[in-house]
Amino acid sequence: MMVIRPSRGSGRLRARQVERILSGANARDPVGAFLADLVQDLRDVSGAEVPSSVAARHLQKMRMATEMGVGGPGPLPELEEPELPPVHTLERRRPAVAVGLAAAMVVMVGIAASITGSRTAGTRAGSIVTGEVPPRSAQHRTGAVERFIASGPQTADLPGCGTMRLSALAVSLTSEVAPVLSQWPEVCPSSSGPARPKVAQPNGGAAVDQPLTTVVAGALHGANSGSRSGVEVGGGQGSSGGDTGSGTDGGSGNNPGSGGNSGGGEDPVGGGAGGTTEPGAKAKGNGDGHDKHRGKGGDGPRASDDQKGSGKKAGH
Amino acid sequence: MTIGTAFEEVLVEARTGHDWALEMLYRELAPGVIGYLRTQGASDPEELAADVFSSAVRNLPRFDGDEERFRAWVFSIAHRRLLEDQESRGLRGEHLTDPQHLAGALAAWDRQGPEVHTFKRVGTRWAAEALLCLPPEERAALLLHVVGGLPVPRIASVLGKSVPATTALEARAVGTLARKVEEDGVS
Repeated sequence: MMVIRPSRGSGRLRARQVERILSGANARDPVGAFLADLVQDLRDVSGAEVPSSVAARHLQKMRMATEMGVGGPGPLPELEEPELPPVHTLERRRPAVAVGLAAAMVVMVGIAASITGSRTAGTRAGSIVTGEVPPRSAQHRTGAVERFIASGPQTADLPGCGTMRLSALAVSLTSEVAPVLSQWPEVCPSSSGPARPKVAQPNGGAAVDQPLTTVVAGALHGANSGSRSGVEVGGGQGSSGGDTGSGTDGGSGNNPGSGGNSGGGEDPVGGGAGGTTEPGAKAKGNGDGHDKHRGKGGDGPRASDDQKGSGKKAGH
Repeated sequence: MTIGTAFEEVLVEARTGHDWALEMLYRELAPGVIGYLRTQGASDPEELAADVFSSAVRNLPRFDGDEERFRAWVFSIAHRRLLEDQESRGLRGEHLTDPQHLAGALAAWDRQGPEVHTFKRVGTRWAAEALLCLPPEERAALLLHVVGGLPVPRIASVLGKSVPATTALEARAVGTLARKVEEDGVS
């Protein structure tokens, strides 16, 4: 073994000395020379031949790893992986991040809603599949339906969708409303459905047919409010909800398809990124319409979190 | 020693599992990786190196970069495996100045193959003790430079440090060794 007795007090190493030592360059002072020797020894270690038996074993494992391919066991190494904060820090942050995201989403949804009016990028198309009929206020809708009825059985001028053929409107409605409309020969001449429900007269007279206007208005309103809420709550793309799912029945309350489409909408967070246009589950009205029905959202990515639609009541 | 201009072709062939390419990459890097693990006091450097290369090969399709970056990538895997190894032995982040830890590490060092006894110039025992007594990050920076042959920016990325911080780590490591040389009056 080489014997070196460096002189004392060589002081702090300068950056250049460090460089020289690490590069293995010979240094004049004994300490530097000794360290340069150490560095050279380390280099020898790194340059040592790997024994053939070891290399053969390693190469065999490498071949096996190749056959396993990407995604085999073991973590994926990254060259520049940021250091993770301690676990407790993560846990503290997670709820705050979630709340922040939800709040940001609500704000964005609000902005989008204010820009687009009551119609939010077609996400309400769940109620009217093609989206031609934008949801409006109940009065607006009712008025539209009344004009629609009054205009005759073939076409109607509806707000936001122009003139529509009757059959086109029926097709464009949700599967739940269309059958209701098609049940009455007055609405769909080709259909041969049952007669309209009867309504008892308050003066004790013979029951008369349910007014068609009420039937269709109820159907449209019920479908709009119910399924729209479902879309927004369960899988909407940013609508903030806010609509109470007040599925109005078709007047008499005996039309299971037309009334009682509830579905939430009161949950302001419900309009999260569910990503589906599937309408909420429809709860069928039973005539008296006082039951509360819980709308069910779509099956989007966050639907499990956000599907707490809470329709107030179905029908009245 | 480097593969040089042929590296890209070798990498492509290795990704498709060609033996010759895998072997070339292995021959190029294995001595450094095993040496790094050994001088860091790994419990079983060769076994750990096998894990390193298996992991590298498995993730080869996801690697993108030149030879220097590849070298740093493999050493970053080696460094992580080493940390896991140390953690499993309760040594992670420990300064091995504790006599019990140091004795264990030195014993492991002694059990290793003849390659490690190439500390001919300064004496194996002294070298082992001097290196193992360095603070872990200083030791890693020094060995990644000297044994791994990585430039400072790559060492910085492996250790997750800035370049100036890495330079400072190296300087402190050399300074610590220099003081030890003086104190020991090596003989």
